[in-house]
Amino acid sequence: MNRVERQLNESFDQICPDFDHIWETIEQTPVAPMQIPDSIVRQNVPVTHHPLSFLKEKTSGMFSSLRGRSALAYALSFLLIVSLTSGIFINRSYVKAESLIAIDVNPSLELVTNKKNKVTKVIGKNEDAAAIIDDMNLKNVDLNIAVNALIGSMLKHGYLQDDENIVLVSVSSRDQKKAKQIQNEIEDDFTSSLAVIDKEATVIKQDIVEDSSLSKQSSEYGISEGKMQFINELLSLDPNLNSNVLAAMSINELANLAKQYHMIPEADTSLSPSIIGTTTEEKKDDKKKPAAADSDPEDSKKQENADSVTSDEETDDTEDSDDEDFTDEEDDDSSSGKIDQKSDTTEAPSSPNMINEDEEPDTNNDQTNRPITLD
Amino acid sequence: MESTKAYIKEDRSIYIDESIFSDIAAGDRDAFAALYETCSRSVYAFLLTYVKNTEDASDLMQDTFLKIRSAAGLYKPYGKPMAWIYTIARNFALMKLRKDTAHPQDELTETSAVTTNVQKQIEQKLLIRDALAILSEEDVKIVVLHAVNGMKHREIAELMGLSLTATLNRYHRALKKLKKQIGGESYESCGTPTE
Repeated sequence: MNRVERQLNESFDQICPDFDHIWETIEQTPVAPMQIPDSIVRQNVPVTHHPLSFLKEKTSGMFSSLRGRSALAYALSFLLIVSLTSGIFINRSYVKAESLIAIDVNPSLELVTNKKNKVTKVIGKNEDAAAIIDDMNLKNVDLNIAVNALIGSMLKHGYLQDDENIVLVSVSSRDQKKAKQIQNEIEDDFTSSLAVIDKEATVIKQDIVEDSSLSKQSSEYGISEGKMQFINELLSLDPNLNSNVLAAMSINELANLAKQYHMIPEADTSLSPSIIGTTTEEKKDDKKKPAAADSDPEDSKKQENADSVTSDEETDDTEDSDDEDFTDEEDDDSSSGKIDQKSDTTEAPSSPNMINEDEEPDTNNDQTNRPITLD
Repeated sequence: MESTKAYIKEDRSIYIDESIFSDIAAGDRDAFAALYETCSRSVYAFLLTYVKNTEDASDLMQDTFLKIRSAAGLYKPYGKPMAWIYTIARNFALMKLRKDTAHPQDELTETSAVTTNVQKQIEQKLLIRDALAILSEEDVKIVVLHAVNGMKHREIAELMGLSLTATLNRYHRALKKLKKQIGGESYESCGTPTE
């Protein structure tokens, strides 16, 4: 432990409460065992969506027994073979699908990848995304290459040109670890691509918790599943919000709203203040001109907050040794990824400026200039 | 009290055997006491980074452990018991913050004002106070979770949804800022509040 860490601990010890006294209170307070988890304790364990995963689940009725499930499996296999031999079309991309990745800037797009992290499908969820994808053929392309190509296209079309840009990256995968890895890699792709042109990207990452209604909902609103899930979380915090209005908002605006509800952390103070709680300059019809012509690809100037570890930082103080943190640990107490359990509250903050169901959805460009604040 | 199911390791990180929740649900008082003894300081520190107020952090810590006891029977083992505990704590903290935003605190009564003033005196020359003030919310959490709670950077990265690189960078930058602060002021390492 270095000097600063030691002093932090000593300093912290001075403001610790009397834990024994608190324990006495806890011990004496009766609590009833919960029967159903509420939003405070609910664990968000992603649902697996292997096409045949239902065979592993307990069911009632004729397929509840092992014999019944085996019979069903045989029947399905037979049907599959018949389909193949009779030339009936099977959606092979679905069978091979491993992960769904949604990227929302203002363009809203989804990528489907297989086990080898190759793109099998790219779906533009709105017109902006269609323009980004254009005639790019990304099928069978490595995911990282595809993402970088899409980022390049976004830059070319005038997106991501603010000093601070917010991107929503949402991943649904059967493998939770893989989902996290994909999220982090895409975050690095955005960060490093924008660092080259002296811009910053704040990437909000989330796991998509699949349910049958999410896909349908997102299609109805013409947005990605990731954006839909983000909106649903906002709605769970404040049911008075208008879902149509939220669906029309850019990610910047949604992020600012989410910060007000403490759904995501407040902006780092090192970020440009223009991103905090203010309107976005992004408008659907008013894209900024690409600055690509002005940027010098040879420019090696790094952002102060770029996520790059330099040897200077590491060796500046010999007491700053955290080498043990880089070794693999055997104990299994690693924490989960993003904390995405939200607490229910019926005490929605009230403010005359809050969006509510009575307001007409304001879909014109003026909406992007209206500040949303909480008193 | 010693427990094999919940304890603080030599490197200050926390070990919890997930089966402890079943024991707690079954009414094992010692199991719950062991969990509290192991985790209370960390949970308190974690809450403090949200509410930035010692009184609220204490109240919320109490709520958190009462909730854990109530919901212990519903816990599904998935290898991350501390994540569950921190999630409960975080949800309580967010509820409190939303409540405070909607209904700002009434004027302090004389008694609570005295308490707050005493706290302020205690916090006057404390590095932890400056950490809360000069660092961003995320950086405070990263610093507290590692320096005070003993969590590994990889665990913090997972908990906060950041990459390991970002977590390391932010931690080191934050410590540098604090180091500068130490250079400029003197800090009491122990003792009574001073004027």
